Amino acid sequence: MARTLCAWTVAVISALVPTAVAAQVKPRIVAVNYALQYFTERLVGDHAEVVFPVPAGVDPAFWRPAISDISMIQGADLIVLNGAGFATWVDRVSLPRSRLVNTSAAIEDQFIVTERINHTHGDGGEHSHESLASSTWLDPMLAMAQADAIAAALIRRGLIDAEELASNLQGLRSDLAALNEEIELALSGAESLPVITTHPRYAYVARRYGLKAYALDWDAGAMPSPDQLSRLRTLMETNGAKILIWEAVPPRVALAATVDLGLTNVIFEPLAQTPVQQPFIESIERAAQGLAEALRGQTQI
Amino acid sequence: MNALYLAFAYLRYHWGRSLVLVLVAALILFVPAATQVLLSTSERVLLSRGAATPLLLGSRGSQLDLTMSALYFSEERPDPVAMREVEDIWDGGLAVPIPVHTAFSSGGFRIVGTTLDYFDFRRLKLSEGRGLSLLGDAVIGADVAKAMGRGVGDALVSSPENLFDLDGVYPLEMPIVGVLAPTNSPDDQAVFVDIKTAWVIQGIGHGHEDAVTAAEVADGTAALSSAAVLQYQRITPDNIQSFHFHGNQDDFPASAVIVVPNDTRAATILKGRYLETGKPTQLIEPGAVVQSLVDRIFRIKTLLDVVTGIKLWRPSRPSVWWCS
Amino acid sequence: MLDYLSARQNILYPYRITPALKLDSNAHARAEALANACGIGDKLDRHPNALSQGEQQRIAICRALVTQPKLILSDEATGNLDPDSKARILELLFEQAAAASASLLAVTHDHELLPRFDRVIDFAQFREGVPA
Repeated sequence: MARTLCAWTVAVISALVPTAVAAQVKPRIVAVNYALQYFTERLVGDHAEVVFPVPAGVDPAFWRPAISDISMIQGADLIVLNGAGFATWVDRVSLPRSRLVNTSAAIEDQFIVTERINHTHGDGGEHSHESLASSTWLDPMLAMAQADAIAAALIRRGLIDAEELASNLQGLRSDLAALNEEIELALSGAESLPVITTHPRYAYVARRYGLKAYALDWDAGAMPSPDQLSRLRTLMETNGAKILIWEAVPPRVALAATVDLGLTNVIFEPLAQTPVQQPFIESIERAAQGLAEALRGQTQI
Repeated sequence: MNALYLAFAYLRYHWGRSLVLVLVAALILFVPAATQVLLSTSERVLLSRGAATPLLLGSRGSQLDLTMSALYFSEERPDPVAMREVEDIWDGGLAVPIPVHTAFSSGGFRIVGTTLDYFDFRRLKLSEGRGLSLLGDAVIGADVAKAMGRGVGDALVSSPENLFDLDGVYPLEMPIVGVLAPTNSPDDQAVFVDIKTAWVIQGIGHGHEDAVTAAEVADGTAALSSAAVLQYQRITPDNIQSFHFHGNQDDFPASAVIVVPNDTRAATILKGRYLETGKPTQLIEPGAVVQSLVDRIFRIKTLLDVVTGIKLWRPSRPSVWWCS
Repeated sequence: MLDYLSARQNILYPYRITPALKLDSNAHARAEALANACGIGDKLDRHPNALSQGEQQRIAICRALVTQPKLILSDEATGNLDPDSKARILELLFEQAAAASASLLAVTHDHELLPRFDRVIDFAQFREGVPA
């Protein structure tokens, strides 16, 4: 009897152990923004848990991780960085270099310098910082290069079988290529068209599709102040822009105010943070459609 | 039997003389024996550290200085090597490069700026606190904790140095966030920081309004800072966001780079790449460097043995011992 | 005479170097008896350098006699002794020789001793004879 019980216990334990181990050993990948989380999830499938640690409502570019966040990130099997000056917290946190991948390392020659900031310190000596446009992922072609970098890192870290990865990468690349074609088609004939953006995040999209973007610096989804509206009016008058790109849906009053100024409103989520409605590809598609519609409206006018 | 009887009687009768004789003989035997023990212990420690570090990349120059500074955190300061070299090795995919920056010290212990990969590579475990997380954090070796009597929650300040003759480089106060378990290696005597923190000490990275003033130090309150009364800088949750680095990180310095190749083939390929004498860098095998150092020490020991051998021969003329 | 051995140890030393001899209580008793007869019975635990030359010579004689040899060779055995001691030692030598039926072969410059020997060889005149 005792022997039977013992055998049963062994059987039950051995049935449980692999499950517990399997649940424990699933690799963890941390991505610094939603877009990279999306690419990584598409590439790695079920083989790893892809974590985007920034809470909803916080801009990942300016997020400050707590010590507990840092130790979670340090323990990850792969840390997917955007580079191009995105998420400056990575410069002030200790991360294991062997598990980092800078997804924009191969496209540094395509970076856009937005401004140069000069300043001095108490001990004298003026110096300057270059500020880079960091939303590289909004350009599907740059996004493709970033996906390639993630794929290479997944292979290097041995997180997925090469064959499966190749097929996943192929899928993502063709989706991005299709997205690119779709936007190109939607925006054809809109070269050098002036648009105003509520935030300087669209430099790479504008360059890819030949738009002339003039950037404001408004809080996403907030009601603009009268000063901001007057600055918008000045910008419209100087460059003749008729389209305003919002990062998030603003209050109805704000939309009405800009419509009154003669602007067509387009919502284009920057996708650094998890989008409200649709995933990455669909979200950009929708924004591109909105932009195309606005353009058609303009050409009709 | 008879001889022993006589010897014992002799020793007992001339006990003073015998005592001196025994002491001198013991001393004569002890010197080579102690040298042997000392040398074999240091040889073991030296060689094990050397053997545990497959390859070392650094500026051209003394291989010994490079090895001593990167493996044993000695005071030697080899010419810095640019972080570009680290990136090159990453790009090559043949090895894991781990930069070490050993130019500064605190309270007589070397500050070792490195990346988290170092802790994995040397299998260092914490006995207290947490690992490096934020810019400015310091994790200290077991001997440092003991010698300084400090632990998690205390802070240490880098020794003021004018190494690179940069204006406005003030010592940095660093909070101790962890203490390492003892390893019986030079790691016990090091203060580990992120290499970015080492760059802050060097003045390559800095914050704004990051000064702790004499007044603040004196009365513990925040005061308006002025460059004239700066004492040292401190990274706080309020100013950490303002810390930034100037220039291209590829140009930033490291004292040396520990290179951990994926396999023997990768090691051979890498060594081949750095053979060119025109290169400003060299890739060396610290094990071989340490071995040649140990061989040299043993040559000196052999000399010592010969001298002791001569000394041991002399007692056949007892006058050497108690008459002369 | 070994200076690091006591008078007793010196007297008994032949027992240490001769495997055939057994160092037992008889040997000890004999050593003490000889020492008493020589007048050094109270100095057996002293070392030679704490004894006079005469006393050292008496120890040497005790050492020669302790094993009760069949032949006693004596080279100026009484040379360093005062007249009283000399007489006593000679008496002892003759007694021991007689008791052990041993022969005593002595070399001496002392003509007064000649009458006590059975045979005398005078090397100075190289003549052999029986004392008158």
